[in-house]
Amino acid sequence: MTENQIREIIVAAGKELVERQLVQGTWGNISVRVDADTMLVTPSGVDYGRMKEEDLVLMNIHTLEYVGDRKPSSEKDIHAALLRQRPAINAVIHSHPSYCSSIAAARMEIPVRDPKGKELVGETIRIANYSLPSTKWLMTSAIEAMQDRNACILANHGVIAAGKDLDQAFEVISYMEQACKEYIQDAVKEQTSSDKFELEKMFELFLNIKK
Amino acid sequence: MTELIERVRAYFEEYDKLATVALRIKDQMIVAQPEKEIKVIPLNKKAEGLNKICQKIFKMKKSINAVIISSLCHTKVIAQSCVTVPPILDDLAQIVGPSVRSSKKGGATSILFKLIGRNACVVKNKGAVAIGRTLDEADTATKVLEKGAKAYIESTMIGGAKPISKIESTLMHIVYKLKYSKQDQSEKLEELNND
Ligand SMILES: [Zn+2]
Repeated sequence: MTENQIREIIVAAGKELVERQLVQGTWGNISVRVDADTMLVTPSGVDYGRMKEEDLVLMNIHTLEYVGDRKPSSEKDIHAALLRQRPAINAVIHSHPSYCSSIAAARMEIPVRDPKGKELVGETIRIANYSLPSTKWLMTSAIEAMQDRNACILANHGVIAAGKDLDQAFEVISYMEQACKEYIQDAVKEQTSSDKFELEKMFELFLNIKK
Repeated sequence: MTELIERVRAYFEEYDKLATVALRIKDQMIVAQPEKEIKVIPLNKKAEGLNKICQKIFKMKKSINAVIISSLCHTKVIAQSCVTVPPILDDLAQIVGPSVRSSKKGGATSILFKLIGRNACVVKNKGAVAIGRTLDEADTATKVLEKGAKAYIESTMIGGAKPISKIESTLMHIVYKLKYSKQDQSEKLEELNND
């Protein structure tokens, strides 16, 4: 794939993330490996709806030097480190989807139940230890939690998903959000002795716990 | 002024006309409220209800130019329970502050007290009051609060939230405010001068 084609697929993936409610506003970022030394990464603070091919930042994954006027996403370190250390990974998505955020708030490692999920993500959905956003410490925690995994939840923050290409990374992040949703809704069903998830029942339960 | 009224209307419509959206323009405010015409009210004219709350916020907080009073799905439940939401997500800590306080009383003074050092609070049995230097900032605070409220409720279902430390969450809020104040100057000036 040429650099220009990669630019096109990143812009399209950004719009699809918004459509599928896997990202809000300018939060979240995407990177794709261009060659052994470089990646294209989404810029900092640009809305996916308005993002253009030329806004993407070409960055060296070893030195973190970049070309152009746009600043790369603030979580560029995690993207670069994953592409550097994991040759099988060629695309990374970071975002703060709703259900992943709830698991991130609970800092709870959750099981992956189905074979498809095990293949996509790994045995469990791990939580990377908490560190302030955009720091080297957060990068270290994320890389550690991603060992033998294609995704992890960043404590109190969001999700990192990776794949052999952007399509697979997209599939991984979609799976993560769905798995987190099912885990929460199953917990509610169990506590309400119901085989159907009902929002009102969850609210009732919450109000009783916090009484 | 027409352009600013249209801007308030756009945010109001984004909330399906179910929120109160107020924007300060010098010594007046433009207010959009459910089932009412959009009004321009002087800040020193006696007001009632939600208008009084917006007025008092604008009078007491000189840097605040926008208020959104809303009642989104999960935020409403937090308001009902009247709990303080700890800093459970980075974006909540950054944008709203190191906790989301709950006000038992719906009066302007009580709400202002709960808004000290915060960009939003909840009001018992009502909803959320979010503030910002621009409409965009108040809107972001409202949405981040709703996501935080959802995460707080859902994490409670699976054993409870594990919050970020007080120091780290306070630090993030301070950094956000400093960063935002620089980035946002142009939009803020546009809203203030465009009349
Ligand atoms: Zn993030």
